[in-house]
Amino acid sequence: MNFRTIGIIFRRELQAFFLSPIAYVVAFFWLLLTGFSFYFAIAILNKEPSEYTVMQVFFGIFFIWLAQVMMVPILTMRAFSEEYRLGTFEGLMTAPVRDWEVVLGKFFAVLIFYLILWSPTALYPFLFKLVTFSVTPLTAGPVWCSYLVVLLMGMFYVAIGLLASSLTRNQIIAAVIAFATIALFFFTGFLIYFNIPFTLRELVGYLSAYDHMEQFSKGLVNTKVLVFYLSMTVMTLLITQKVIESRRWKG
Amino acid sequence: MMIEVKNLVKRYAGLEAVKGISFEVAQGEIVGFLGPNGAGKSTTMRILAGFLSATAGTVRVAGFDIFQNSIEVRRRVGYMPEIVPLYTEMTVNEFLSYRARLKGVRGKRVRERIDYVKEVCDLKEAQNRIIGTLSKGFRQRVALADAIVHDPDLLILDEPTIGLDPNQIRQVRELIKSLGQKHTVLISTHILPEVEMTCQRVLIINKGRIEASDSPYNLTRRVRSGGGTRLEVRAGQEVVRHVLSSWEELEEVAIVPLKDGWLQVEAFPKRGDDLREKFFHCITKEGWGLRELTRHRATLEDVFVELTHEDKL
Repeated sequence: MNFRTIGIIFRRELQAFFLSPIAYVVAFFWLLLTGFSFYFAIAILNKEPSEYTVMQVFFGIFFIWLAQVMMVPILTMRAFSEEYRLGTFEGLMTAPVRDWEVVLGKFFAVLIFYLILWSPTALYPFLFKLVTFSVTPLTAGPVWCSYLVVLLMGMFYVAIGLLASSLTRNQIIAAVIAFATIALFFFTGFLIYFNIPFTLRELVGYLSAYDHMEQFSKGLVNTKVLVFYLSMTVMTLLITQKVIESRRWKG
Repeated sequence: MMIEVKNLVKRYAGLEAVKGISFEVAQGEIVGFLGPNGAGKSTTMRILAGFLSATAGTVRVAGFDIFQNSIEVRRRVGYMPEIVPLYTEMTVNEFLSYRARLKGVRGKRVRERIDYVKEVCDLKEAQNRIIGTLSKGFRQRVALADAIVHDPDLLILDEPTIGLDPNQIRQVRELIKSLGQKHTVLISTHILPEVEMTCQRVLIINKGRIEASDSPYNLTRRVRSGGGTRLEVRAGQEVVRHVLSSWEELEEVAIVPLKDGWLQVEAFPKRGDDLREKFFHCITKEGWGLRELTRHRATLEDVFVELTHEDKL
C-alpha cells in the first residue's frame, strides 16, 4: 500500500466535491437543518429548568439524524458509479494503483467532506457559551465524545455508501441502496426502546446509533461501540475492495 | 520482447471473446491491431493494459507477468481506451497533472512531462479550459497526452483517431509515428490506410482468433485480389479464353465484352505473381489491340475483407 497514491486519489476526489453542484446543495440544506435544530434545542432548554445539557439536546434532535441518513448516500453515490458510467474507471484502474488505494482514497475524501459539513456545528456550543456568558455548564468532554460518534457513524455509513456505489453504474440506484441499508441499521436501533427479548436487545444495542449518541453525548465512551463501528467500517471497505477486484473478471 | 501473449483466453458469462491467441511484439515496433467490431480487440487490449483478468493463458509485458506483477506492468504501459476516460469537470492542466502524479511522476518532472505532452499533442491553447467544454478532437488529444504523460515503454491505443476530422487524423498519425521512435505501439483502428502508413506489422483478429500477422506489404500480396491484372484488349472472346486457359499461373480469369467491342479481362494469378510482362509479350505475339494493362494493388482493406468477411462472395 502506497500512501502517496492514496493521497493523490484523495485529493482529486475531495476536489471533485467542490467542483460539483450537488455538494453545495447538500451543504446548504445541511447547514440550514443543523442551525435550525440548534435553535430548536435552545428553545427547548429555555422553556423550563432541565437536567439535560445542550449537547444532549442538540444531538437528541431526530431531525439531524434523518438528515444524516439521507446526506451520506448523496455524498457517496457518485464515488464509483460515475466512474463506471463515464469510463474513467478504466483510466483509473490501468494506472499503477492498487484496488485498496482507490477504495481508501475515495473513502477518506468522502469522510473528510462529511466532517467538513459537520464542522460548523462544532461552533454552536462555543457560540452558545459566548452568548450565555459561560453560566451554562458546558464541558469539553461531552462535546468531544459527541463528535466521536459523528465520526464513527460517518465512517460506517460512508463505507456502506461506497460499497453501494461500487455495485452499480447508476448513481440513483447506488443512492437508494445506500439509503436503504443505512436506514435499516439506523432504525433497527430504535427497537431497544420497545419491549423486546433481552438477547435481541443486546444485539440491536450494537446498531442503535441514536442510543450510542445518547451515551456519548453525556461524555461516556463505550469501547464496545467503538469496536463495533471500526470493525464494521473495515469489513464494509473490504467487501468494496472485493467488488472492485471482481470487476476485472466480469469485464 | 515488449509483449508476449501465449494462448490467451477470455471468457465472459456465456461468451468466449478471445479464444486462445498468441502473438509477440518486439521493442520499438508499431503494430496495427485490426479486426471487425466484436472480434476481441478491445478485450485483448484491456487485458494487456491490466484492466481485465484473463481466463487462461500468459501475458508478459516488458518482461513482467501481467497477472503477478500488474502494478509493474501498468507503470510501463500508456493506455488509451476507446471511450476516453476524462474527468470532465477538471481543466486540462489539472487533469494531466493528476494523471502524471497518479502514474508515479514526481516533483519537477510533473511539470516537465506535462509541458512536453501539451507540446506534442498540441494542447497549449486549451490548457486552462475545462475538459467538459472541449471538442471531440481536443478530448481525444487530452486522452493521448494522458497515455504518454508518464513516458511509458509501451503504448496501447484503442481507436485513437475515432471521431477526428481528416486534419486531426493526420496530426495523430504523425504523432504516433514520432512516438514510435521511442516507444512500442499497439494501435487498433478501422481506418486502414492509417495502418498501411504507420504500422510495420499488422495483426488481424477475427472472432477471438488471430487470422494473420505480417507486414502490410506482405499481407496485401497474399490476398487473391492482390496482383490481379486488369486489361482491355481487342480480340475475339473465344481466342482470348483459349490462349489464357493454357497459362498455369492463372487461378481465375473473367472476360467481359464491352459495348464498343473491346474485351475487359481480369486475371488472378495463383500467388502474388506479377503477370504484366507476360501479358505484354502475349499480346504483341497474338497481335491483339491493347488500351489498358494495370496490376491491381490490393489494399489492406482487401486483406481485411477477405480474412474477416463471413460469406465470401
